[in-house]
Amino acid sequence: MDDFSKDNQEEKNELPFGFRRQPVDGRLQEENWKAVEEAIRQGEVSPAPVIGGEVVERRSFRWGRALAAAACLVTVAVGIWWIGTRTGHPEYSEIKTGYGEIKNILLPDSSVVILNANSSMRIPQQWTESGGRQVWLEGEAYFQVQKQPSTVRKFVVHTRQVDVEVLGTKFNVNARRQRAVVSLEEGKVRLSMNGVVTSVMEKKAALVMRPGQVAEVDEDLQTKVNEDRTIGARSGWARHEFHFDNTSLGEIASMIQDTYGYDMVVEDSSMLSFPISGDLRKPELQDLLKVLQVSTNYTMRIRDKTIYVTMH
Amino acid sequence: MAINPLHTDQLYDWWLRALEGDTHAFQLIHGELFGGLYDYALKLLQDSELADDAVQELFVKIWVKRGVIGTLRKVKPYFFTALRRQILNQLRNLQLRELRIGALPRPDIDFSPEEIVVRNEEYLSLQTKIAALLNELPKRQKEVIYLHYFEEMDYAQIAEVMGIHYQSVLNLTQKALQKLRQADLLSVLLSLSAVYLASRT
Repeated sequence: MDDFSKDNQEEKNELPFGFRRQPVDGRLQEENWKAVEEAIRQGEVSPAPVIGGEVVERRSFRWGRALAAAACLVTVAVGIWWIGTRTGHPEYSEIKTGYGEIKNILLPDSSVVILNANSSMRIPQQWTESGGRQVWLEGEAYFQVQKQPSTVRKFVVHTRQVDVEVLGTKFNVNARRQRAVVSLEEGKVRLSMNGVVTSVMEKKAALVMRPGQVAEVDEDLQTKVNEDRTIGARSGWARHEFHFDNTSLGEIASMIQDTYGYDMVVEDSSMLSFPISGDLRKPELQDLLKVLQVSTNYTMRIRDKTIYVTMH
Repeated sequence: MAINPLHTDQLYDWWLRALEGDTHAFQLIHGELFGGLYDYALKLLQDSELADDAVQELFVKIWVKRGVIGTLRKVKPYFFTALRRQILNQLRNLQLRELRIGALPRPDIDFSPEEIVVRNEEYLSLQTKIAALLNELPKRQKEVIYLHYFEEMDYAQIAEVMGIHYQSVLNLTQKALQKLRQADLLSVLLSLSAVYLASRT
């Protein structure tokens, strides 16, 4: 190693200018270490192979910058609601998000779940061989499921309408408003509709999805499958992005209601069909409304958790 | 921050203690390497928050996996190698996911004028030009220059971090230096400072 540092010196003198490193920000370093230390401690203290610990963003809406979820899984673990059920039943932990809140969850098998606002997910406290990997979702979540050898039980996301059976993949599940919309980005999943009893029917009701497909299962278990060339946009929320492509104001109003808990009241119902296109990053509700006002030319005012939309 | 034997030995020593679960020793490693790792992450990601998170994630991951990693002679190159791999993976995932959304970030180093020291302070404007010149270099040449001059890594270490052959590092460095030397700007710079020095005496 020493002989290399010699040519190091020689090279340096050949340039008619030098380099200067920006000084290290001591506070930045200190905070960075604190976060590391906290994550380390959580890892050591948490009991055995129980749930990997819920992980939230350190600063809300901060890392939004189109960052893959995994990069932020470090950070602080917060308390988990332990729900004890009757004896003989597995115990579950439930993770909930409020309006406008997004949480990152690291599962015991290293799969990553980003739970959108106003949603909840139930996870067995112990992931046993027999129980397999299963979670129960209400609301919306984005999944990055770790591949496992075929001996390990599949990963299953249960929603009211449909069960999504997974083999290592990335997909978004929106189980809001009496329907489930599954958008598959990578890999392969199988949907089986709930409430279908006979085994023959069950086979028919199962649907294998290919990447780029969106399956929508409504209350009556009617299923529509479409191709979506911008499939990644379906999970844009997980990166704090909104992607609108001729999206109607009405659809956006539903999304606002689901994620922020604000109702929208329009002066004239025709306004709801106003098409909006564009990308938005790190949006707070205020920012979103500003953009909507500019693109629609409508006036929007907030009062009592309601957005009033008028022509002028 | 030169790579003297003492420095590496110290990191090595801390690493051995960290292996046994000594978080304080791990903190010392963090203190020693944070600046360099953060700057490197910042260069690759060009976003201070992402860089901060990346270094954080790196340390947590390494701590968790330390048992698997085991004894480590070259502690600093190991951390840089792991950080680079992590960031490349991160960017790759991003690319896969965002095929249709906007411009893609690429691991591309960007030098800023403040990082350039010109011998003659009167010609500060040249810093901007030199930075621009450096930024015109191909990506891998920039990275070699960066690791070499900023992190004071030797060629073997750079080869390890970037996952390329030792000879490739030499070639990349040579090409970069050649281009810099050929650039008219540098000869202008040199003559200017010569004139300036002459006029002062």
